[in-house]
Amino acid sequence: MAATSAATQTFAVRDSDGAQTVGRNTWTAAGNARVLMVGAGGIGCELLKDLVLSGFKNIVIMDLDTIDVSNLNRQFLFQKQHVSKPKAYVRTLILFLLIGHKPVASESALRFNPAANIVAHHRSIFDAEFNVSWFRSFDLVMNALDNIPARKHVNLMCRAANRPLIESGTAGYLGQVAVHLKNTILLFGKEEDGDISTSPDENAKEIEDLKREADELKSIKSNLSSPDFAKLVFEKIFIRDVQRLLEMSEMWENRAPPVPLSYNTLDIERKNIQSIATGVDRNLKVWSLVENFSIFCESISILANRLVQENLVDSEFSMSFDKDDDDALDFVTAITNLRAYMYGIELQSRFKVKEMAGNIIPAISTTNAIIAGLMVLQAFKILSKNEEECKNTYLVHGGQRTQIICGEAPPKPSKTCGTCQAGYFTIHIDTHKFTLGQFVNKVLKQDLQVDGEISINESGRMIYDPDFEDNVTETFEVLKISGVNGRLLVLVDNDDDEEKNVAINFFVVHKDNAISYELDGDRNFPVRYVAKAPADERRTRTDEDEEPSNKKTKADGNEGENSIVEVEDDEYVILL
Amino acid sequence: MTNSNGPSKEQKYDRQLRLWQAHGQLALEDSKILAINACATVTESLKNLILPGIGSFTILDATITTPQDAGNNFFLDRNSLGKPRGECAVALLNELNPDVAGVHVFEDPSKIIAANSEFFEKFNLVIASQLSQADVNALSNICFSKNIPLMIVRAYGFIGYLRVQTNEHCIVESHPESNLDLRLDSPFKELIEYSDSFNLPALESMDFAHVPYAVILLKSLQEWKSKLCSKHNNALPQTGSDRNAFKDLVRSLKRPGVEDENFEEALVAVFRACSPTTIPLNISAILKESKSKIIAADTPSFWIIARAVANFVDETGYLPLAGIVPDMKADTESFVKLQTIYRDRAHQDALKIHTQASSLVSAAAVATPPNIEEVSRFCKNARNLRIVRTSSIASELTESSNKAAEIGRLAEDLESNIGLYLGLRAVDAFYTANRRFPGFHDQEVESDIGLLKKTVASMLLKMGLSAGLLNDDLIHEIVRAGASELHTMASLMGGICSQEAIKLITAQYVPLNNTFVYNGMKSVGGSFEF
Repeated sequence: MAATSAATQTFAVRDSDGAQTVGRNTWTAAGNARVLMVGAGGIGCELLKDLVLSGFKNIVIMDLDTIDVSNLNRQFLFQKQHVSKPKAYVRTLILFLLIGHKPVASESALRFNPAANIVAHHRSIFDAEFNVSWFRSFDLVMNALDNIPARKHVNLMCRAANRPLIESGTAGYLGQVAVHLKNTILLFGKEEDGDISTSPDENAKEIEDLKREADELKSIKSNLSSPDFAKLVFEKIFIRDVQRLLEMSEMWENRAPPVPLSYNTLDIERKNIQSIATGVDRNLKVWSLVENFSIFCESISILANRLVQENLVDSEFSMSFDKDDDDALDFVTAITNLRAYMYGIELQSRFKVKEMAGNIIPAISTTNAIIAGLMVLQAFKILSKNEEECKNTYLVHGGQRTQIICGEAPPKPSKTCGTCQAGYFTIHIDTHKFTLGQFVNKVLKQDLQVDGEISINESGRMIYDPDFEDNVTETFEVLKISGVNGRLLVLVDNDDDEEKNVAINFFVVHKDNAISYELDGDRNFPVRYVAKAPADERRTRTDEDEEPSNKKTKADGNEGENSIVEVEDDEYVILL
Repeated sequence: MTNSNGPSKEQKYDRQLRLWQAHGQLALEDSKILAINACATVTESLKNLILPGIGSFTILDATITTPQDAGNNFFLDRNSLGKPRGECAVALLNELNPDVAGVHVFEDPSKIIAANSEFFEKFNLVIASQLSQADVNALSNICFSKNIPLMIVRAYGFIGYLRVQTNEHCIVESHPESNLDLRLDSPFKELIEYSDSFNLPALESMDFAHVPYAVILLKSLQEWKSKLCSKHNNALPQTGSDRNAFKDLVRSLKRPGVEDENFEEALVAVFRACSPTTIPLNISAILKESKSKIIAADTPSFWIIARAVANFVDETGYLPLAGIVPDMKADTESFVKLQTIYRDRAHQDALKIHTQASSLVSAAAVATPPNIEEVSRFCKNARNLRIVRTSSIASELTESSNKAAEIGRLAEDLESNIGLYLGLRAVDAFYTANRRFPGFHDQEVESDIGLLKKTVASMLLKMGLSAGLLNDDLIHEIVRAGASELHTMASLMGGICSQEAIKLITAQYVPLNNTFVYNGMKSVGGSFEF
């Protein structure tokens, strides 16, 4: 028991140390704040550590990923025995197992803060359950994400729930932290107004070609378990398809035609080669033509076999490319190189192909540590109600950019941003009874008094517009507007009065036996900016373009702790 | 590819290998790092170096873990209380990466610095925190004389500080924003032949639209030189009006009605194409310096290859070709051909320099002569070599008058972080005088404010600066923070310190020269050269 009281005392002292620097009120606010952390990857690991050691006690973690070997160079809360387990799950397990126990490893963030209440979900942030009112249950949301769609979604939800968001991203040595308060802009491009118009070109020749193609592929696929499968695939794509292309002689008037490969020749040569290099060489050395051929044959039969096995269990099973699947990567590398060879394009190493096909952005712990530290500093500003002191911060290269870290005030809402310039409502209805017509007339026209041409979308699906009123008598249930699909974007266009152009988001919540509807949201929504006649998009080049300057650094991708990193020289506070 | 010992390094390090490549990783794995004092800022720095796989680390620390340490340091906990801080931190740090071995030395850093300077020779980077000014001064002298890079890092309340000291750091891969070396003004034989193979008037429209802009400029420059250059007193169009005349010439080659993206690209590149291919001043200085060095068994590859390049330049008048072609509008065939021409030429240059370097080392019995990959890398970056030589920290602290005037000027800008720098120097002086930091004890905050003001005044006086340079608000803030090391500041500064450490170890990118100060209250950073 003596140990317990000593420990209690210990933590009292510890708290006072942090509290002294941060300020007692802020420290208390951090302890009381309910924080949502979306993403438990490279930045996420650092962020959780920093939060727990900075007095934060109520943290909800959301992550859909599982742990990969290539995470271990930076995601320090995970070790090799955790590979392929869900990130969020491992985290909870680690944290809860260690409460009150002797720490076994560096696995615990919680041992420092036994009072902390950390919950982790191995779920998608897009799930319908995580709706506006759920977001509203947090005081602060922190994104440590690796993809743009999820970032945009969290941004929208925070905007709808009126909750502050701290956004982060890194790519190699670069990184950024952006603070999204109620009236600052969405950095990830404007929300697109859904509009689909397709007019398929019904070309008889094309259909005939497609049919032949389908038959050909079907016949190859029926030979999936045949020992000749590799040969069948090879002969189709590297011989017959190429020959067909060569017949279109006009295509090759101005460029070098591809040279079809020969299966038989390569198959004979293959028998003479030594086994392909292993280890580092296998990845970094560019394979020769025959090596590519050999790996193509090996990997395609492994993959075909896997498909056959899986189909026994699940006839619907299909395969998709996973850059961390060694056989899939072998296959993609070999097939890409074989094709490149035919066209006289430079062959690439497996390492490089992985980077290109997997859209990989370099990720390192140093950058993540810096960015997570900066995020918590911004969190202190928000929790101490000093929002006006918040900065968007950028980590830049040393050398020419000597500041290393630059801060600037978050930009004001952009009038062209669809997320800023929109209204947000949660609408409670009985989706089995409430019809689209009622929505248009009662909610939009009578209650919100919108005036103009109304069009209604559900994630790109057109539900209603002035020329398409077929759905007005249908209920929301029939139109499948509820749950995951329960967000409507209403656009109002008024040619006579620009002030009446608006965009309104409605998050639909089903309520059994609701009479009519209940609307929850700020009725003072902004006017929507509508672009004038499209300006000449073509950039006119001026002499300035010639000067050797490279103002923008942009990194973009869908993997790693990457994000858009956009840096403008002249926006920095230049200190020296 | 997973073996019984766990995942391969290649898999584990995949994401970072894309940043610094296999040779950067080897440099990292060869590094032996000394960390002085296992406070949060230092263990956070180590964490970010252990994860990517440094060779080994040693923690030098003679303190016993306090509750404050356990509270702000991820690598210490309740069970560390009362035990040696370094020992406990090493135990947890060692769990981060089975490929990295760490040890601790339970000795007072002050004593080692004072009495055992050989101790430091085992390491190729030293990271230190929580040292007195006198110890920093002495350690700076040791590291400077032994050419061991030294980094002093600290998180003091909301102030972050990093100082890098290295007396010679040579960088081949400086990663400039652009590395364009097309030699359009002075084309080599293969390039002229390639350009001549295009007969513009005879080309079909489709081909015409796909003539690479390099060819358009080569042809335009050829015409300029033969017809117009006498009128313009110069072989290359260099003045604004010359360039405009040259642009007209380029435009005159266009064919009406044919897509002209390639011509637009050519016009944008006119400025660069018309800049004569010269040897940048800083590069000639490096080459000149290489000639003054006597190549011995321990001469670094950098200087051996630099010497070989210097000989190449003497012979040919040019640096070796970089061999890189930027993306341009062209059909695949002509683009690949153009790439091949540059690559082959660059390869030939590199081979010549490699031969040259090999003969230089054969005379000096150099253990590992530069290999062709190393030479090729050097040649590719020959226009962007960098050498960083920082001042020593000892000189900054003792000969402060040198920089004092500049510091005074910078301090007048209240937004500048120089005030924080002066504040940190003052708390160190305070510590030297009082053996504690201002505001360390809650009950002494008020009295310490007065004491620190006096310290600041006398420090500024010694530096020859006006006593009012530091504002009272800052002094209050510094005392209020009471020397506490906030975890999030420690994590941030540990991140920045390790980021610069990786640049130093891999010799890629240009590291900080030499001081970075972060203001955690205002979220702004600033770097200074002291």
